[in-house]
Amino acid sequence: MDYEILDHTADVCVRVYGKSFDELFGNAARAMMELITDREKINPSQEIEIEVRGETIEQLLVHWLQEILFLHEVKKMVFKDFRLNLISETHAKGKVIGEKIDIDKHELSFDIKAVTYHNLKIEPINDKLKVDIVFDV
Amino acid sequence: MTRAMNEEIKLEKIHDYLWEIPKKGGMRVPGRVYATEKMLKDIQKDKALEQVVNVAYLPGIQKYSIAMPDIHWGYGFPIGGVAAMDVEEGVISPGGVGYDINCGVRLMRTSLTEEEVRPKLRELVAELFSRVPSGVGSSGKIKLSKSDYKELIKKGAKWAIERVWGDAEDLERIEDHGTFPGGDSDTISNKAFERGSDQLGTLGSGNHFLEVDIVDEVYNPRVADDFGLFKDQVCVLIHCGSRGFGHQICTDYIDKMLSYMRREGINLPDKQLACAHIKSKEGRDYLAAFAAAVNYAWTNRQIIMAFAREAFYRVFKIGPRELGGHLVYDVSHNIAKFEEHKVNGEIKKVCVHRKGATRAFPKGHPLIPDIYRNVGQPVLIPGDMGRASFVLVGTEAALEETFGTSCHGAGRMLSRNEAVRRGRDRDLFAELERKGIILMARGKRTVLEEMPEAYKQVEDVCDVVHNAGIAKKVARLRPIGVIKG
Repeated sequence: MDYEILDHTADVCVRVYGKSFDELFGNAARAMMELITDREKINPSQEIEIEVRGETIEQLLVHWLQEILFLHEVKKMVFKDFRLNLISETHAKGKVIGEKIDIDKHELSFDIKAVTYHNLKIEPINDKLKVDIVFDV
Repeated sequence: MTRAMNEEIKLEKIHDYLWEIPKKGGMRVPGRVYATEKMLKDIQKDKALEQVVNVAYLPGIQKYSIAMPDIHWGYGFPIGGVAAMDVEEGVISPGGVGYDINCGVRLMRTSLTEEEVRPKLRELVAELFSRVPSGVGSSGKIKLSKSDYKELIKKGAKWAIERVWGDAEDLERIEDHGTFPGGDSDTISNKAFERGSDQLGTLGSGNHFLEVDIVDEVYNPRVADDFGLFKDQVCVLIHCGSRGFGHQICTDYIDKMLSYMRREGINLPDKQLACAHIKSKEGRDYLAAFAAAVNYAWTNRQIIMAFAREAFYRVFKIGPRELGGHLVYDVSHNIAKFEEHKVNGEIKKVCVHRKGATRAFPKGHPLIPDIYRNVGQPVLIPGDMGRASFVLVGTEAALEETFGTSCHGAGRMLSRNEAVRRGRDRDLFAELERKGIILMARGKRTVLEEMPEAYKQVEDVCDVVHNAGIAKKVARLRPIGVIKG
């Protein structure tokens, strides 16, 4: 399993898994986009490059998701896929691939206001990494 | 640093509507929760009380970490949390205000009655729905340039009134006259400006709404009369905030404060409580950016109210005089305010964080408008879209016990996913219509998330604050037209 949606009374929480940080970050972005719209219906026609930095690995993850959220809201795009290269635990470069929002095609379900740091901790579990992320909606 | 998490949180009864969490571990003050014994059982199901405890760790907190009866599990602060900080030694926490800076509610009364509006209700709701953009990622017709922004973030609602959206009279009926001093564009990121540039005059989604309500019951006729409310009267209730502009400002400053805390060696049980001393550069910069977002939110609600007035003029072919569309009041329920309060017998300046909580000042307080000086501040408590909302009035007891604060809404009972699961086979539009409520919404999912049963009964929440004396019930509003995102 790459991710699952957990119950949270007021907001939305996802549990994300990955074999590496690269995979964990990619799955976290997929989980977030799946909350916003049906990823199946997105045509991967446009690529945008992203570069993020953070003081810790958790902050880097939050910044990566925040950047995607920002592009979604301001460029009015939805994204199907995400590629990420972790240069270090405080610096990453990546690509997001998607298209402009078409209201007739992409039903938008969640207006995610922000990615929170609430109890955010990347933890090793068996041979994987795991993180719970709470979004403010 | 011990985490409060997973420890059983003990509660001591003060009276039927108030419970204390004794100080322990790193708590600087005790916690206090306004609720009935029955409500506490629900509250204890998630981690909201743990968050009341965590807030008590914040430097400079005074008297108590307080929770209102609509408390529920948030992130960092609980929703329904109140914390007052010493301005010299204390901190400001962006998470203690929330991402939606100055999210709030305003109530506009009219001279119309239900009987007069009913025949054209569907047309009215459709007109409101087309004039007030709503829904996920909604953008409006107003595009803000850099110079618009510069003025708006200093002037707040006054900026809207200087254009075409409202009258000077509206300003007296907004907290702080609709202008929060100190907004400074140098403290705000380009991302925040970009996110907010086309969202002014839009509701957004989630629990935000615009409702046409009827004054259904009057509990206190004298106060209702002073607020201009009477039975069967048509009113408009608007709930929204500072949109992407505020969300980005909160996002930016939580990061800055996490760096500040690492540098200053401040450890807290949850990173989302990120804070900086009010007197620090980070604290001052946040307050300047925060002020801008507070002003944005007031402007937003002011413009939406102006759109609503226009919708009434058009549908009923009447003018401002016949409509009598006067603002009753505009309250902020995600906010931090510098106020003077009595602490240990002395008047002290504090910064009151109200995260999902409403100011409830009594009559005679210098910070409430002249028109309400002899009656007290209107306290507006929205419920769910199928049942009711309430108008209350602030009290002396609130000033004594809760830094002049009361509850802010019904509070969620079901998670959004659970509400969607339970409502999957239901037609909420038809169900509400059978109750005489016309609902229009952009998102099908939002309607399910927001179904009445997803919320606690707002009446129970208002009864607790009424019985505890931290606000008194004035009137009940019943929805007849609802616009959701």
